[in-house]
Amino acid sequence: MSSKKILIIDDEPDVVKYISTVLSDHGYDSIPAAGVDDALDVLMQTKPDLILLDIMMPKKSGISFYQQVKADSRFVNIPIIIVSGLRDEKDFDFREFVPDTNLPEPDAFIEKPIKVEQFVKVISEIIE
Amino acid sequence: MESSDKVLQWLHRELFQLVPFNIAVIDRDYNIIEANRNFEEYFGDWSGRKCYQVYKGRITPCENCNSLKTFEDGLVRVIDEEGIDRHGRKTLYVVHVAPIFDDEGKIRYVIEMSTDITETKRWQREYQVLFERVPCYITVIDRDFRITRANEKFRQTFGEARGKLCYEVYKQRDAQCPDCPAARTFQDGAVHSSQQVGKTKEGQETHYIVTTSSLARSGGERAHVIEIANDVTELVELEDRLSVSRRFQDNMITNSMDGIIATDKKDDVVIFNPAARNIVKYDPKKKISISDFTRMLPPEFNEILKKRQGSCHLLDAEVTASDGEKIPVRFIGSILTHRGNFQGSAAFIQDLRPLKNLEQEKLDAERLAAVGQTVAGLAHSVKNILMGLEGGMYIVSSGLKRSDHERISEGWEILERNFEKTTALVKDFLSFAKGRLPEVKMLDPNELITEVVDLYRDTVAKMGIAFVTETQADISPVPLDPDGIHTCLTNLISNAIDACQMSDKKGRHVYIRTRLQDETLVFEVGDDGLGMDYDVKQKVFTTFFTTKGGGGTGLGLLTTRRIVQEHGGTITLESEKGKGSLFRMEFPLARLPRCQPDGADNSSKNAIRSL
Repeated sequence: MSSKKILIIDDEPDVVKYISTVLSDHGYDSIPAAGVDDALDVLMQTKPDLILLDIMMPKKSGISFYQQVKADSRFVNIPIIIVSGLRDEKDFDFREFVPDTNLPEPDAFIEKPIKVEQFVKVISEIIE
Repeated sequence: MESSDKVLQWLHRELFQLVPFNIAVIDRDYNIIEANRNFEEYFGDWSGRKCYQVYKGRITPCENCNSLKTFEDGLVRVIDEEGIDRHGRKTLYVVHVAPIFDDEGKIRYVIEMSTDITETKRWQREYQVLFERVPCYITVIDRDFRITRANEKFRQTFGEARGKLCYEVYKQRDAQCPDCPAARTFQDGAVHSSQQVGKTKEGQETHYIVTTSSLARSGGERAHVIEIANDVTELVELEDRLSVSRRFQDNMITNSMDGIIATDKKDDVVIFNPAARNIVKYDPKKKISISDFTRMLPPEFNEILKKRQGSCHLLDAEVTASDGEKIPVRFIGSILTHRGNFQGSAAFIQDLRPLKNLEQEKLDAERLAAVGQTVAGLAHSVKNILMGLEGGMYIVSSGLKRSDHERISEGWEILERNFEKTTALVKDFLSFAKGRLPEVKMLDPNELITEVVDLYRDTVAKMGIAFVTETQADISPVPLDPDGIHTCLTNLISNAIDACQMSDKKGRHVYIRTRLQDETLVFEVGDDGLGMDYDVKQKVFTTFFTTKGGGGTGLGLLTTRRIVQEHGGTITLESEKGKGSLFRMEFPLARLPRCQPDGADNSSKNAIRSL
């Protein structure tokens, strides 16, 4: 059985490196994308099993990517986990970023900095 | 020896001719029987003519002829008459008409003795006009204070007066006034005068100044006094109004919150209100000498005072307090003249210290707000760095577990990189938050530009980017912190260079401009490189934002903004995606920090204000 492919989208290269290493250590294939354009290219060629998306990227690109993907029938079923450095004292309100209630909420939220065990657990739950 | 009869006759004849008036004798038929020379000279030819002809040029007797009446009743009459003289001119004369009895007691003739009173009449008329028409009240009173004569103006104001008591009419009193000047004149015969308050016939209060003098009419006794009174009601009213106005003005000056000072013609200090005394810390009771005055005030004002003309309007001046302290004030002073003559000076002083404190507080508040915004954005960057560090550690640790050297190296690199980022961030943030206060010196802005441009000249040449400097030639030096402004310019210029680099266009430019506009020093650093869209523009000053990938700390622009704010200025961004960006720093001259002669003062005060 080929390993699951996970698309990692984050503009911070160190973060991408970190996450790919963790994923590969736990038996997943990771496809890095530094930005939304790269990510869209990847989607066209390979259908990943999971997308890890940084919501805080320049030009609201993270949000627009999410909207694009969830509105596209080809990709709407791919699970997306949002990774974000945003969560502070306030609770993260997804609907502040994506108010259109036609679009479904993401499958999970993960807060940076990640805790490796928790991170892997969530991924494995969603991807299976 | 001549008989005494003859002598008498001669005497009578001479007398008849010599007496200094006109004599004519008429009979019952109005014929002039005899007349003297004076008569002839006065009235002209008389022989064979009727009296009414000669006296009055009439052809019929006068109505009510007095001579006729005397013929009938034998009474002596004295009458004023109007006739025609020998030249045909109208003339006024008084005539004494008396009967001449014959031996039987019958009135044969009437003798008319007349004398010219034209002149006298004229004086009389003039006197009458004067008396009546003169614009003051005139009354003549007797010893009983009864009014015997009153002129027109008096009658108009106080009503009909003849026969009434003077205090009754002037003042509607029923007893003599206590300080009556007329009484004193009756006593000593001298002229007396005093100010009185009376009542007009309508009951209105009226003020007048009355002068009384004795009128020796008959017998030399002080039988009458003439009272001449000048109405001063209007003057009194004006005085009252002036006094009210004066009190009002004094009140305003005393209670004004701004300092008001004035000097008079003789350079005496006539106004130095409490607010002014407060500003210059002067004892409220102490008199201010002109030398103190000149020492306290700005030199420009002393100049115009010396020249006795002009005015000065100083928006940012200083006055020197009694203890030597220099107080920042707004000062407006001018020389007062009246019809071209020097009258004195006046000045208004507004204490600027509260305003300046407010401005400093505002500056501080602005900086704190910026720092507040920064802290929010800080969280995001810090989290990324933490991820980096954790990531690095994970990779190193996992590399060690697998003895994978490549992995260990990779991980270590990440650790190093993020450690550097941490250091840079901490340093920048500390310096940002501390609010290093500007140590200003008088600088030529164009020189600063030249310095920074020189730093980057080689770099840009290699990149194919051109510098375009457009500096206004004659900007006089302004107080700026050289290090601070240098940092700002470096930051902006390096950003501009980066923007040019990231653009694909060929032949890009970095524009640097300086100018003085509307009392504001303006720096502009622009590029025709990448340009920013709306989202980026929003974030550029408020978050630790960088589009430069892993390179910048994102603090540069924030630091620049902090430095600009410390100079009391503003920084704005204009940018269009694909076209380029322009950062504009504007420093209003009035808000620039003051250049202290000894840099120490500024620092010590503000050190406490920093975070």
